Amino acid sequence: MSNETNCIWQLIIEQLKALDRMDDYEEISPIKDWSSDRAGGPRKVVREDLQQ
Amino acid sequence: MKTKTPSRLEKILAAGHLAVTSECGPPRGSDPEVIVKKAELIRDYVDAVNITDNQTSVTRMCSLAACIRLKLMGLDPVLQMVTRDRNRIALQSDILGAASFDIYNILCLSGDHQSFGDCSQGQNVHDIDSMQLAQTVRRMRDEGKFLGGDDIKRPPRMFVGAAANPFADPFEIRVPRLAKKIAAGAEFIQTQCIYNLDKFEEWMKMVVDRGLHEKVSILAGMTPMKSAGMARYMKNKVPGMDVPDEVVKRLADTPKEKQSEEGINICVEAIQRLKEVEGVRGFHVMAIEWEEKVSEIVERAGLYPRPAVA
Repeated sequence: MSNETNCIWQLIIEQLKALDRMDDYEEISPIKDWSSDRAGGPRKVVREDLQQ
Repeated sequence: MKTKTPSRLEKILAAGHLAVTSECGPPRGSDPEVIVKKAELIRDYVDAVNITDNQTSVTRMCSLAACIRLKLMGLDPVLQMVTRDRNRIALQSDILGAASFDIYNILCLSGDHQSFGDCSQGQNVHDIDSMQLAQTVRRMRDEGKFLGGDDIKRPPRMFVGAAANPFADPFEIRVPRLAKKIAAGAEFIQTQCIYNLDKFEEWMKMVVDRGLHEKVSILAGMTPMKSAGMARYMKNKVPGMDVPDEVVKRLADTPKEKQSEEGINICVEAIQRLKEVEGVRGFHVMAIEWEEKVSEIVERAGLYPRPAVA
């Protein structure tokens, strides 16, 4: 995309190597649940610690 | 070998033949004749024809409509589908639409970033990625289920493919990435265009060492160069492309009017060499806007006539 942008895959692989977790790369990620993201509409968080 | 779909490509591979596929880019307009003419040029020389899905993020006629054209002409289309432009509802819906026309092959891709194309201000989707798209098609086909869990009436019967680039960085994940695509459900692979034969053979050796060639049919990607200028452009401007200096030099040392012929020679020689490489199950000949040369390449490479399969 740009010469100024780091390759995310390079960074991921370097980090996995540093953590000695390269085997994790081959794990298949399940399809993501986006419903807690923007796709789910407005979100509501109840901060029980602040309730009186 | 038993096949899982009525795909001609799958049958050719199952019968142990070297497969030949090619691709057609749809037009930047609605004229169906563009696709029909390209398809007529190559139909007798290939087993299946890929239709690209808004390649390089430039808006074109949709792959699905162009695949239907090919199907109606009696060809075996490969529906290319990128996850850049569609969420999981649209992807599953288009897969069913394709299946309703008995399109039996799909190539699961993520797609080039939109900043490369004519809609750089647009949003991309990437609800799921290319691996998950392969998983999705396999689930729809093998389990007859939507992602949401409901049953599909008349599930799609598609031979599932994915792309591989043996040359991209970081090199250490090139083979693991292939393994991951196979685990996700890919049954055939079409590779990036190969010019650096030594490096491709090195990659294939690692693939064979892990036994991956027995789990997936790898078709080597071939794109003939039209000129030394094209070779320089591919070398310097196209990400993930590995064009050795000697290829550029060989074209540059050829008189201009003979360069396209030399480009074909290089392509034919590469196919002849890679035919002998363990694990190579066929060739994906991408003659970009040069479809009239596919017949010559396939014939000279000794891959014509194409075998008949029941």
